[in-house]
Amino acid sequence: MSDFFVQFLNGVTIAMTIYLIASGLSLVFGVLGVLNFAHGSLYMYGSFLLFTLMRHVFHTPSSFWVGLLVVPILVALLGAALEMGFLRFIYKADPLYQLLLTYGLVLILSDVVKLIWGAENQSVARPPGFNGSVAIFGQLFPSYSIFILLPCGIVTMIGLYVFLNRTRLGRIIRAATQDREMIGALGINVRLLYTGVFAVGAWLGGLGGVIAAPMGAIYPGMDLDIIIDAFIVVVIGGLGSLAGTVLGALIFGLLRSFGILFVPQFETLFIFILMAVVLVVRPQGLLGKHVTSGH
Amino acid sequence: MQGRLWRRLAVVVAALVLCTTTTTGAADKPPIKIGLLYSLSGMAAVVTEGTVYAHEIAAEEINAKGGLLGGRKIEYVTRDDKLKPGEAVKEFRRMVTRDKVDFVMGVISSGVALAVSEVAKEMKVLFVDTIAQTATLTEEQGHPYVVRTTTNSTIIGRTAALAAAKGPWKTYYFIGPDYEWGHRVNADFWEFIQHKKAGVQKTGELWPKLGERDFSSHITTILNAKPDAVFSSLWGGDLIAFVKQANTYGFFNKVQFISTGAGDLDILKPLGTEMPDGLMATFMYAFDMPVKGKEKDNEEFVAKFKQRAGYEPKTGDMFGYVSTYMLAEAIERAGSTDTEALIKVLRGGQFKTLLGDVSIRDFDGQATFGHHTGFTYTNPNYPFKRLRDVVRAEGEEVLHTREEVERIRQEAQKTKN
Repeated sequence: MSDFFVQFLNGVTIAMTIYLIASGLSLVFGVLGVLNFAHGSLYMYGSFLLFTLMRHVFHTPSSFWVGLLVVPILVALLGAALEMGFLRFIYKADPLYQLLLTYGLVLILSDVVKLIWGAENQSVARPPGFNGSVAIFGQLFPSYSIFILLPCGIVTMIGLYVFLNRTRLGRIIRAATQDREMIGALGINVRLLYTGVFAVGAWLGGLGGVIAAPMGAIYPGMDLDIIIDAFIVVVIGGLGSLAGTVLGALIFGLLRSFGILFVPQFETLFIFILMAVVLVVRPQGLLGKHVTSGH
Repeated sequence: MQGRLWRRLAVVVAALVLCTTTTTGAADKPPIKIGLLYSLSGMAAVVTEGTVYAHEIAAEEINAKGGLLGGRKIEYVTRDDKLKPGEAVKEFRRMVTRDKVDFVMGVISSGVALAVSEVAKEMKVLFVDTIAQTATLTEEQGHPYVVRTTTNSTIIGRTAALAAAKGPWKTYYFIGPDYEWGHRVNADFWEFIQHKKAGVQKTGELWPKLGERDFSSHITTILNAKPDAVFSSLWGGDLIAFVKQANTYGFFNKVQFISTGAGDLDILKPLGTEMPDGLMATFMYAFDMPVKGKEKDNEEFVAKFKQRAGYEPKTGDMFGYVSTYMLAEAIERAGSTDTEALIKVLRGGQFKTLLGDVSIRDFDGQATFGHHTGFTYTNPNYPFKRLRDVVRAEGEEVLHTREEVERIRQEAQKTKN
């Protein structure tokens, strides 16, 4: 029973990490209609900027907290710059061109990482006090996951929900997903709105990069490793649906952890089977709305 | 309008003429063209960047001394295989047909190596494997056009098994990346330790995908099985993530971790003090532990490499350097870059290298480099862990014998038919 519970908790942790990345991807697609392949790069910049901050600016593990506040904002600024410099010119283009452009950005951004930080593996320590584990039903569980990762994920979930559903700006953003021209006609600066939404998406990616950094390695190439999983989550949950992303991430995490427990030789297989089934039976994703063609 | 067009054409033609004359004018003798095929982007770039630097250092040294075959300079054509077999095969063909390389060295991934090797066989072009280590390459799928100038999974797995057999551990759990390398070296270790120690048991195995980030489920699953020891062939970022996450569970106090990758700098340096002491790790080369008699040469190479790369050489880097020298030696002995002539001197040849004397076996093209096992410990001179109680196993001692290789090939043939 306790094995079961710990594996469940593990699944939720996996879900939280991937949720932080996938939510930004889904938000940007939902509002801007762009499938941003470079979202993984923003996650990578989150990790590398945290590394620089902790290793070269402050030299202390407790500077993680500064990074948690500052780095996602820096990544959001980078995102805003990318939107103003590149993406804003292709909103009406064929999705194929959008994918090509964002993939081009992936290549450029990853070469810049190699120029600045080199091609070596890097690593940062967990903040002090979160190096060990806590016992839950007699099973150890990393305190970093319990006290930092989970709360950050949940707060982001609630925050995004409240922002999109309970604030005026959120309503405008949701309206923009329905009819961009109409919003413009109402006197709202759509360009600024789009830049803002893309920056929020980038902020989420950066936050994901910061939270994930102390748990693994920081290396050029982590962008592509995560983006595939994020795409899977978003496809299962439904492109553009934030509730769908939560559901997709939970399914992803739990399938992975219980897959390892019960059928370890096929641990990665289930998720791909599920994705295939979803694509055949419900192409818009579990909670996605029907895709209507045209603008 | 027309005048402008003509002027443009004239510029293009002039530029073309200039280009071709400078290239043909500069080299009196044609260069020796060597293709380098490595994963220069993605997670493996961490390892291969330094390998390419080391290849370049070796070529510069050789060229500065006047080149090979009486004045022919070494020239590289470097390509990115993106860690994908399909991409690697495409680049390999392109290097041979378009860039006209004399032979190809490279590849880090065992999966990529197997794919490239098949094309080498088909095109009758020499492929020198410098990093990828699956034994399948030279055993089941061996052919005359493949030679390996590095250790293989058998050397590594068996070196670890020899050291592990001396310990008190009886029950083993296995974890490795889910592709050729992981499966092969884990099997090599397991097969050998059963011969070396009575009563060993396998309690389970896990195959996370290459590039896994979250090992929490793997770690708890292993701990619940309560093995004495865990054999791991994880490498790169995967291994770093595993060690960091396992630390929080007190994993390394509960089981003896035996790792094929943890002895090299790409792991030890980033982990720093987060790497636990007492972990058993195999390694081929350590910059501060040169082969006897090569201390001074090693020191010079380390200094030169550090100046170029900004960090101390890792095993893969060393093999870039050593492999270029071995091939240079072979070209001199063969008196040409002709593929068949090169194969003849490479296979069965003896070479003096910075990593000691080594031979390439004639029946499988595998080099006989030795390998090491040690235990991590805190060394006050470095901000990262070093290795002690190091035991060396010579390649000859642990490699499959000619009879074994032949039997393996026959069995593979049988299952194929």
